[in-house]
Amino acid sequence: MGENELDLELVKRVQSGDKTAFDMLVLKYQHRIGAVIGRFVHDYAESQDIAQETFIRAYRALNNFRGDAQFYTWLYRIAVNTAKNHLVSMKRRPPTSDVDADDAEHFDGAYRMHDSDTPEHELLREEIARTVSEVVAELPEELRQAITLREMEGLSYEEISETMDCPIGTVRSRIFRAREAIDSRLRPLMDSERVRP
Amino acid sequence: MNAMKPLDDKICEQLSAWMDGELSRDEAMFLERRLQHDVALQAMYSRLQMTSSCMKGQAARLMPASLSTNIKLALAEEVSSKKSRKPLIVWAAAASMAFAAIVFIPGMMQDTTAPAPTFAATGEAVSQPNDVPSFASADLIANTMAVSTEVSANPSMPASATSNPVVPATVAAVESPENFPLNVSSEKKSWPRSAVNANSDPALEAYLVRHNQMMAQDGMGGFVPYVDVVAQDSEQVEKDAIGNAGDNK
Repeated sequence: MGENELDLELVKRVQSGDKTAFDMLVLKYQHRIGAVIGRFVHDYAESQDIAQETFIRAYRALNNFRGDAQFYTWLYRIAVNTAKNHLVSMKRRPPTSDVDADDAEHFDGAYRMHDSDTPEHELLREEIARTVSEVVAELPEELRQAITLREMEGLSYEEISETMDCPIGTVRSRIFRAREAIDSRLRPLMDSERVRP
Repeated sequence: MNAMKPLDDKICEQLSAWMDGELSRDEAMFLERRLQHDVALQAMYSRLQMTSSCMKGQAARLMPASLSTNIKLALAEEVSSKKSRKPLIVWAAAASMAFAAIVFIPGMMQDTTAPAPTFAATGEAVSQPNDVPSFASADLIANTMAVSTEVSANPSMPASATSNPVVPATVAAVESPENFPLNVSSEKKSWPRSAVNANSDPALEAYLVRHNQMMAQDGMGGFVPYVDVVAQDSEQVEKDAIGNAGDNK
C-alpha cells in the first residue's frame, strides 16, 4: 500500500465515522498546509487559526471527497480558499497569482512563497533543512541509500530491497534507523520552537 | 491521553513503515490504535512528517503541537453539539405529530366514534346541505355524520330547526345490508350515481352503499370516504376493455 492508498484508507474510515483517522491526517499534513497558508498570511498565530479552519472545513466536506484527486491536492485547495476568504474578510487583498499544489511542493517555489514569512520562521525552516541535509550526509552508506531511495526517489520497500539486494525487513529497519538519526537531531530544535507561544 | 513516555524501537519502526504504507494490516491496526492515544508517538509522527517533507523538498512550516489538539477539540465540540441538537429535533418532530394528531384525528375518528345515526326509516331521501363533495360515498358519509352529530348533540332539537327536515328513526340492529335503511341525499342524482359506470346494477350499487353505511355505524368506517361506490357490470367491463384496446392501437 502506497502513501496515497494509505490516505484514501484513512479518508474512508473518516467517512464511515471513525473520527480518530482524521487526527492522523491532521498530524500528517499540518506542516505542509501551514506552508501553503504561510504564502498568504504573515502572522504565525493567524496562520494557525486558518490551518485549524482549513482542517475543520475539510472534515465537514470529507463526505464529498470521492478520491478522484489525491487527498493532499484536495486539502490544498481548501487551504488556499480558506486563506483567501480570511484575507477578504479582513479587507486585505489576496494575491492575484495562484500556484498549483504540485508546483507548491518544491522548495524553489516555496522559498519564493515564503518571502513574506517572519525572519524567525524563515531561519528555523532553513535550520531544519540544513540539519536534515547534514544528518543524511553523515549517515552510514546503507542507511543513506535506503532513506534516499525512499524519500527522494519514492521507491517502495520491495523496489529498494531489489536495488540494495537485501530483504524487505532490512530495508524497513534501515529506513527507520535513518529517520531515527535525523529525528534525534531535529527534535530539540523543533520541540523548542513548538513550545514557544 | 497518555503522558509523554519513551517509545520503544519496535513501535517507532512500525510507525516509520506505516508512514510509507508498508505495514501489514494487523500491525497497522495495532499501531493506529496506539497512535490515537499516545502523545509521544503522535509527536514523533509529526516530526517524521516534517523531516520527510524537508527531504522531498516540499514546502513545510512547523505548526505547533497544540494545532492538532485544538482541531480535535473543535471537532469533538461540533459533533457533541450536533448530538445535543438531535434529541431536540426528535422532540420537535414528536410534538408536531402529536399536534397533528390532536387536530386531525378527531375528525377522522368521527367515522368510527360517532353515535348511532338516524336514518329515514322508509328509505326516503334525506335532504342535506348542498355544499358537500360530489363523490357518492363521501356524500353519504359526510351527510350521515352531519345528521348524526346534529341530532346526538341536541336530541331535543325539532326537525324544523334545520333547513332540511330530517325524519328521525332509530336504527335497529340489522343483520344484512339488504335490510339496512339507506340514507340518500335528495339533491344528488339517483342510483347509480357513479360517473365511472353509469350502467351498473342499481340493486348491487344500493347494496354496497348500505353495506358502507352499516359498517360505519358499527364503528368500522366502511369504505374509504373519498372512494366512489361502484358496481361493475361484467359485460360492460368487457366492452370497455375492447374499446380501450382499440383506442390504444
